[in-house]
Amino acid sequence: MLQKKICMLGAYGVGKTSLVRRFVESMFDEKYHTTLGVKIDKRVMEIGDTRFTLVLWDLAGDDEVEQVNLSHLRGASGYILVVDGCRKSTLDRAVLLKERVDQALGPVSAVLALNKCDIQDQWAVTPAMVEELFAHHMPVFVTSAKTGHAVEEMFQALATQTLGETTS
Amino acid sequence: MDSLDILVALDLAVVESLPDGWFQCASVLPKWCERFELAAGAKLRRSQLEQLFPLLSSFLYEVDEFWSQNEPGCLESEIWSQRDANQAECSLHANAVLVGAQRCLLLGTAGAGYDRQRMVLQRIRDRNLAYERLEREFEKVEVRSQEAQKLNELKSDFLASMSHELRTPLNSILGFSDLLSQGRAGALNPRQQEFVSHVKTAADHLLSLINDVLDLSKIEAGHAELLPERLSLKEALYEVLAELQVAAARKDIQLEVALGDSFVYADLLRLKQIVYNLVSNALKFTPKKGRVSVIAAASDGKVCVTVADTGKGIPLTDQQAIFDKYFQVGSPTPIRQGSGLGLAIAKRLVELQGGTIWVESAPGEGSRFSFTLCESLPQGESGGAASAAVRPNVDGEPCRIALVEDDPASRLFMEAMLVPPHVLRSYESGSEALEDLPRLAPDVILLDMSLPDMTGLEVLRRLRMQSALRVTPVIAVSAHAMAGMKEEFLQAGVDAYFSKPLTDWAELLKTIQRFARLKKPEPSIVGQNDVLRAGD
Repeated sequence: MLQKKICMLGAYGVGKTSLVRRFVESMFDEKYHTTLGVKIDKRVMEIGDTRFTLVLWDLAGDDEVEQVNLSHLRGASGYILVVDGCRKSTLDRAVLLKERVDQALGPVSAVLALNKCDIQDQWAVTPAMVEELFAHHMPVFVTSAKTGHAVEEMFQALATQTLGETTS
Repeated sequence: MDSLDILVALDLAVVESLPDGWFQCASVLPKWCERFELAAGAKLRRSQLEQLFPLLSSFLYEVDEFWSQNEPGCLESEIWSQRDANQAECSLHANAVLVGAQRCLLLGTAGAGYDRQRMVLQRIRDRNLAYERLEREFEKVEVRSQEAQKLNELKSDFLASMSHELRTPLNSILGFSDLLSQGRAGALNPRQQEFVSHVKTAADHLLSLINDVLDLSKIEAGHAELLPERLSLKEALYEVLAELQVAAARKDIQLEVALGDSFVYADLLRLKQIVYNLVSNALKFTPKKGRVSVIAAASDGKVCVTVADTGKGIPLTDQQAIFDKYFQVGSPTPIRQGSGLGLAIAKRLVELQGGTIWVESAPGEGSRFSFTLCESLPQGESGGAASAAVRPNVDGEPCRIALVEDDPASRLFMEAMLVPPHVLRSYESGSEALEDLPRLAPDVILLDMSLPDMTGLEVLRRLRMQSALRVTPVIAVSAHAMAGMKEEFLQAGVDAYFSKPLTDWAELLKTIQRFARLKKPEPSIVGQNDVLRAGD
C-alpha cells in the first residue's frame, strides 16, 4: 500500500503528540508527556479511490536543549508545523524551524496548526499574526487536539496535497 | 554463556546486511518474532525492514555511509517509539555494527536508561512550561495594573481639578458668610444670623468632604507619602486629643485617655489623622453624657490603640462594611452625616503602616475600634516582647538578611524591624541585588516579586543559577495577593511567601529564623551597622 511520511514539528508542549493521538486514536490526555526521540504512528486513509497509509513522525519538541534531528525529515512527503496559541515564543520557534526544514527538505507540502483553540481566551498569538507570517507558504488551521476541532480536516488537507504531488 | 544467552539478556534481534542488498534475520528471539512479525533466517528487502521499523528509513542512510567507510565500530540510532503487531506502544533503538566483513543491525528495546532520560527531560520541560505560564500571568497582571494605575491617575487628575474648581467658590461662600455673621455688611437680625450659620456649617461640611475624597484618592493611588519614625504615643497624640477634648466637652461627653509609655514606629501626621477620625466618629455617635476612651497597650512587638464609646453600637451585619467607602451605619442612603470616608481612610492608613484595624460592637453596648502599629523600642533595650521577637536565631546567632525591595516605605519598615544583631542589606532593584548577592552570601533573601527592572521570578531564576546562592532560602514578599499566586511562587522555587501589606510580623520573623538556622553566618561580618545599603 502507498505510504506517505508526515513529520510533526514545533516547539515543545505545543501539542504535536496530542494532535497525532487525536487523529489516530480519537483520544486526548490533559497531562503533558514530553516526547524523547521520535514517536511513529500510522493511520490508513482513503481519499477518492486512493487508499494509503499516513506514517506520522512525531519529532521531539524543538528548543535550546534539544534540536530537531533533520535527518528524520528524509523521505517526508509533508510536514505539520504546530504553534501553541497561548505562547508567542512557539510562533517564533516555528519561523526558525520552517527555515531549517525548507533548507533540508526543499519544497514539500505543509500546513500550520495554530493549536489549543479550546482556550482561545488565553491566546497570545492571533490568527492574523500567523497568517501574516505563513499564509503565503502554507494553509493555516486553527485546531484543538482537546476537542478535535479541525484536526481531521487538517490531516485530510495535507494528505490531499501530498497525493496531488504524487499524481502530478 | 553462548551468543543466544547474550541476545536474550540484552533483548536484541540481529539482522545481517547481505552483499546483495537484502537483510537476513540472523538471530531473533521468539518474542521478537511475535511482536514484529520477524522469522529467524527470513530474508527481507530494505523496504520491508523499513516498513516494520519505520525509523530505519532515515537511520539506514547514515548506516550506509558508516559501513562504506569499512572501519570496525558501532553507530547508534536515536530511540523511537512505535506500535508492535499487537498495537502496543514500544520504545526501540538500533545499533549498526561492522565486525570484519560482517555488517549487522542490532535491534533492541529501550530500557530503564531511556525512562530516566525521558523523566529528566519531562521535569525540565514541565518546569519551563510552568515558568512560561507564570511569566504570562505576570505580564497580564502588569498590564492590568498599568491600566488600573492609568485610570487612578485620571481619577486623581479629575479630583484635583474638581477640587480646585469647588474650593474657589467655597472660599467665597465661607468668606462672605463670615463677613455677614460678623456684621461687616450691616447688622443681621437673629433669623438672618441663623440662616448664615446654616450656610457656613454646610460649606464647612462640603470642604471637609472634598478634603476626605481627595485624601482617600491620594492614598488609593499610592501617592500618600509616609515618613515613619519612632514616636511616643502620648506626645504624638497630645495636640489632637486636646482638640477633641473641646469637641467632647461641647457635647458633654467624657473623653478618657490612657496611652501609657508606648512608642510606635509610624508617620506622625497620619497617626494623628487615624486617631482623629476614630475619636471624632465615636463622639459623633455617642449621646450626651456618654463616655469615649482612648487606650493603648503594647504586646508581641505591636501597640494596640482602642477607641471605645458608649454609643448605640453597630449591628453585626453592618460591621463587615463599616470600613467601606461612603458607608454609614443604619443609613438607607449612602451619606447621612459626615463624608462616610473617615473609617475608610483610617483603615487604609493603618494598613499602609503595616497594621490592622477592626471593630467589636453590639447594639446597645457601644463600639470598640482598635488598630495596631509596630512597636518601636530603643536599640539595646531588652526584655520587651518585640526585641524577643526579632532575635534571629533561637541560640541568639545573628544572620545576614538581604532585602530586595524597590518601595522606600517598605524598606524603611523592614530596616526598623530587623534590628541588630543581624545585618540587613537592602537593594532597590533586581540587577543591583544580583550583582552584589554572591559576594554577600546572605542567610536569607527577602524578595519583592514586582521590581522595576525585572520580575521577582526572574531574579529568583538568576539567583538559582549561581552556585553560591542555589540553596539560599528566598522568602517572597509580594502585593500580588490574588488566589493561586502563593502556590505559583512556591512552585517556582521560593521557600516561603508573605503578602503585602505585612501584618503578621511575628510570623515573618519566625520564618526568617527558621531559614537562617539552615545556614550558619560568618561572625566576622556582623558589625555595629545593622543596616547597610548596597553601595555603602
